[in-house]
Amino acid sequence: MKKAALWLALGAVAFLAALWAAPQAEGLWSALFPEVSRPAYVQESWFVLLGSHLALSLGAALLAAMLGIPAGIAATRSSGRALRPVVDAAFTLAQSVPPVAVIALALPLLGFGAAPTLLALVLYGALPLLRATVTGIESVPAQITEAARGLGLSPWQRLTRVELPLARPVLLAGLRVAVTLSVATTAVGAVAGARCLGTPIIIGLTNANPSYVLQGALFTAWLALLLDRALSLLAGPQSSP
Amino acid sequence: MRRAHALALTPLALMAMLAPWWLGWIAVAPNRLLSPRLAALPDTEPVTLAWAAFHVACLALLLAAWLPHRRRFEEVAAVAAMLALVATLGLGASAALPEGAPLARAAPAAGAWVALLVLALATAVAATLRGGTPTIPLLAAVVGTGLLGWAGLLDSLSLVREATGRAAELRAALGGHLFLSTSALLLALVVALPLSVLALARPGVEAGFLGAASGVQVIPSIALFGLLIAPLAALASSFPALREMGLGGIGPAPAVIGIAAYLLLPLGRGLLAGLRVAPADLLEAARGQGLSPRQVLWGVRVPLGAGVMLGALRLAAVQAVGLATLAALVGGGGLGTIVFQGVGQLASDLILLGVLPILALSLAADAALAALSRLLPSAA
Repeated sequence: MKKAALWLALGAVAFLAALWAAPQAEGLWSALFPEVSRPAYVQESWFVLLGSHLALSLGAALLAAMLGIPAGIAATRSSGRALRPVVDAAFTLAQSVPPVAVIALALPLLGFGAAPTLLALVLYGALPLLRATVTGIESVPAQITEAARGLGLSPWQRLTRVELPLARPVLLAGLRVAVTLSVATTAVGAVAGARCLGTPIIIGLTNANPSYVLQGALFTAWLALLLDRALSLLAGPQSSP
Repeated sequence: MRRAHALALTPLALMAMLAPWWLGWIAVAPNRLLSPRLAALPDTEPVTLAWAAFHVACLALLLAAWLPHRRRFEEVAAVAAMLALVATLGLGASAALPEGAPLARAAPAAGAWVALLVLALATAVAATLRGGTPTIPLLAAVVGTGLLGWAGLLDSLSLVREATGRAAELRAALGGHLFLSTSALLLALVVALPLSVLALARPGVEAGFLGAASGVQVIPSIALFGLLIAPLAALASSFPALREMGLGGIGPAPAVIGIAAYLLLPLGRGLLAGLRVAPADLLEAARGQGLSPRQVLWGVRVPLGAGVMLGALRLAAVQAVGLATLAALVGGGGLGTIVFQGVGQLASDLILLGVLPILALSLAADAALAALSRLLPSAA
């Protein structure tokens, strides 16, 4: 556990160092892409792009958690049962629509910028979290909730002391899925004008600059892998693959 | 149990019925550039008939949710409501467009979109409560819409005008999309099948294969496609034979390889699970009868696990159709070309023209593979 955290910290430091070094490493990029006249991406600082990527994807994941987890709790209460089939159906439907389609469809309504991406992010983050909350709470054995009721715990106490702690591994797995999706969807959001690590990829693709594409893709993938490691560490050893 | 249907479907049916009245049926713009304004639904006879049918279908959905269960009646009502609404929009658009203004365009307004979305959700809810998937009824809605369009009922909608104006482009994009998703699926199968068979006997291979496949899942697809461009371009320039085969940095190659990489996890998991369906004593008996490992694999493991394996193939096919959208960014073609063209011009008709066939395609892939798995003798 300690060792894994150390490796993660080292990975994060290496990532930040690479972000710092990328604009300086003109020589490396021009060696890789001799035909490109300006191979180093210097339009914006990589740290600014990283910051807005993280703000957008983690902010959306937070928003999604604020929507998805309470809704999932509501769907498992006896008064909220009606919500359950709607949740499952929405989840099924959403899976056949790629996130990029949601971004594209929201674009004419919300305009260029981060807004369409944010909508898609919240939608695609809330659903897995909602689903994970429902499965997590429903996986708590009935005897345990019965016993908690027998001990005289109030519904609120049963939820916070019994159901949610026992649902934690499933919930964290759902959070991991939501964050992975969120980081990936943010990168695609560059198409709709969201500023993020995907922006150099899009600029590179539209201006036939493979060097920008490589740098953007490298850092986007690196960030996604780092965040996934961090979340699997958070989820504890039992739920890591 | 009936209560669950009534509780979930009542608000959806009411919402579908009221949304167009509240948020508008159709919007009309003088031309492509000006922004559309809500238009009243014309009260010609066909239009009135169509919206009356829409309301009857919504009420039938409501009724079906409260009455003792009839098989699939709710889904049929929801699909009928969707089709009646589409007909209302098509007829309403042709009646609402001013005479002698060929540039004027009519499109469904927000209320109509909300109603369609809510009805699709209601279909899915009904299917979920039945314990099935909404693929077949939704595909029926898509096919029905196609028939309405073929009959010329929808010709006045700007989306249909856009589609007829770009028929050749649309056909090419559709063909490209099919090519991308099927070749990625085949490539993934070619890699996953031998590895799964190998992993049966060697746990090390299983851990390595599934570990690598789930590692790929974490990488955003746009980044993976981007990372593949440079090596593929280098490969193509050092081996001209490969370039003649169509391999290159920009084009379908990075997309197909990238999509296939994402399909390895669902395929690998499903294939392995399928190969493990056969119980140990049966395998033992087969070996005892002197069957060779190859005979055990093809005679026992594959037939028994075919259902599970087809399920994995179905999941992978649907994912492939969705992932192929992003291929357009790396010059791979497909329906994403139209979507991103629409994104560049902020043209919602163009975006829809790209997105709707993608949805129809993923429904069709899902339905086709579901039908195939029903044909399996082991399922009977």
